Amino acid sequence: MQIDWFTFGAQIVNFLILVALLRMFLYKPIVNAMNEREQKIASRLEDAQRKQEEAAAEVEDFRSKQRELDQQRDELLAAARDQADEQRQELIEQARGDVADMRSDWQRAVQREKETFLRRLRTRVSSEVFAVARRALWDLADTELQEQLVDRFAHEIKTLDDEQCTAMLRDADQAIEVHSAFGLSDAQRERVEGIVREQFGQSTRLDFATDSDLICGLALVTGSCQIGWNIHDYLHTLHEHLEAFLAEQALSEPEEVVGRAR
Amino acid sequence: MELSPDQITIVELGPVTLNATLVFTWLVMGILAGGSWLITRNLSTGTEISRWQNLLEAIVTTIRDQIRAITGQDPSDYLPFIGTLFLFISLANLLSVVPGYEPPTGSLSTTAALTACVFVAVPLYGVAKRGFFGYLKNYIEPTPFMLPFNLVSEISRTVALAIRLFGNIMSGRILVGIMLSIIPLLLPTVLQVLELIVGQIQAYIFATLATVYIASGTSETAA
Repeated sequence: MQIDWFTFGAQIVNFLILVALLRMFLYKPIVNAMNEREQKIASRLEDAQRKQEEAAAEVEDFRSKQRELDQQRDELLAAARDQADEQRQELIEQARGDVADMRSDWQRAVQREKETFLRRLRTRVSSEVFAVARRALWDLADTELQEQLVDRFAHEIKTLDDEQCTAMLRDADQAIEVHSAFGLSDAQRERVEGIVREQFGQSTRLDFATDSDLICGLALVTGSCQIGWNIHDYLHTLHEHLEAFLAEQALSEPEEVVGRAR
Repeated sequence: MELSPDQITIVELGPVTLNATLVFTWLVMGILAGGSWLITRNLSTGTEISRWQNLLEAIVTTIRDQIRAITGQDPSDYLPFIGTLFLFISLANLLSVVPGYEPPTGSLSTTAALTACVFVAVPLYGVAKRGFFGYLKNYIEPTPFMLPFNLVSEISRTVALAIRLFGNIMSGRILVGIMLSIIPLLLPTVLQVLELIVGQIQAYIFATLATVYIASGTSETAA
């Protein structure tokens, strides 16, 4: 058991060579690889961490945006709802206005029709009344009545005031016409002439004429002026009164109708 | 039966005699260096690595962790030296299961050479780490009177390191050889397994002690 010095020296050299070889082929590459991998892993972890933070930030961003969107949507919905309500209200108002217009149009139309009808009715009623009265008085009129009519005429002429006489004479250029419903007898003619000349002067010239429109009675006619007593005048007055009354009624009724419609 | 593989001559080239120690040392060196070269040619830095690379990484990482645990310092500087010591002794002992193989660690020349390397490495690391005088201060601490004792300790522990490894491996070889001649069945196999374990433990002890010596040379507080 002794040391072989050659082997001893060779083993030292061998060992040093082995150290160098392993340093070159084993430790350095392996340690480098491990360090590199560690760095990679560290950088990946860092990257992951950064990405996670970014993701978190984006999530937060997204959430805030979503909240904003929700808020905007709510606002828009509320605005739209308000607008819709407003529009509906407007439409309702418009429809109400239209309905009111249509109703008033209709009421006016009804009113017009009513007025037309009443006007026709009025005319018809008055003319019917007039015709009936005239017919009745015509049937009653005879010579005796004619006598009484002459008496009545005389009374009328005598009670004329000066103004009426003046007006009569101003229009009487040529002659005063005496209109009667029936033909007068001679005696009656003379009496009439006497009465007229007494009132308007002896020189007054008279023309006698028959006018069935008078129904019964007598009338002095000069130009536009007419004096006398006859049924036609009465009936004419009656006709006017009747028409005035009906017109008055027609004016008051539409107001009542409108009042009821409201 | 030879006590040392130094005495087994393999080839004789003129004045140079290549004994079994040198030849098997080269074999171990070839396996270590060639294997490392083959594996580390294509190293992956990604997450997918080959199983061989995984093996090497596991070995290197373990060695680094051990060095760090013992020295309490960054293992990068010590890794080539300590790691090579361990890997060489470990593989040299492990290959003893191969018939015809003589472990170079069973030669006192080899263990003395390794120990000589440690003996030189300790002051080198110490000076590199703490400076020339800083390292020398180790020998006069706690008092200058301790200088002779420290020197004796330095030499004796180195010698002990060499003898321990040599003795263990050589004794194992001899024990197996004796057992084979007495009880050729079963028992030598068991002893050989035991010898394998002893070989690995010795590799670990040698490397660890070398680390401890270096650490004591480089550490500020070490006596």
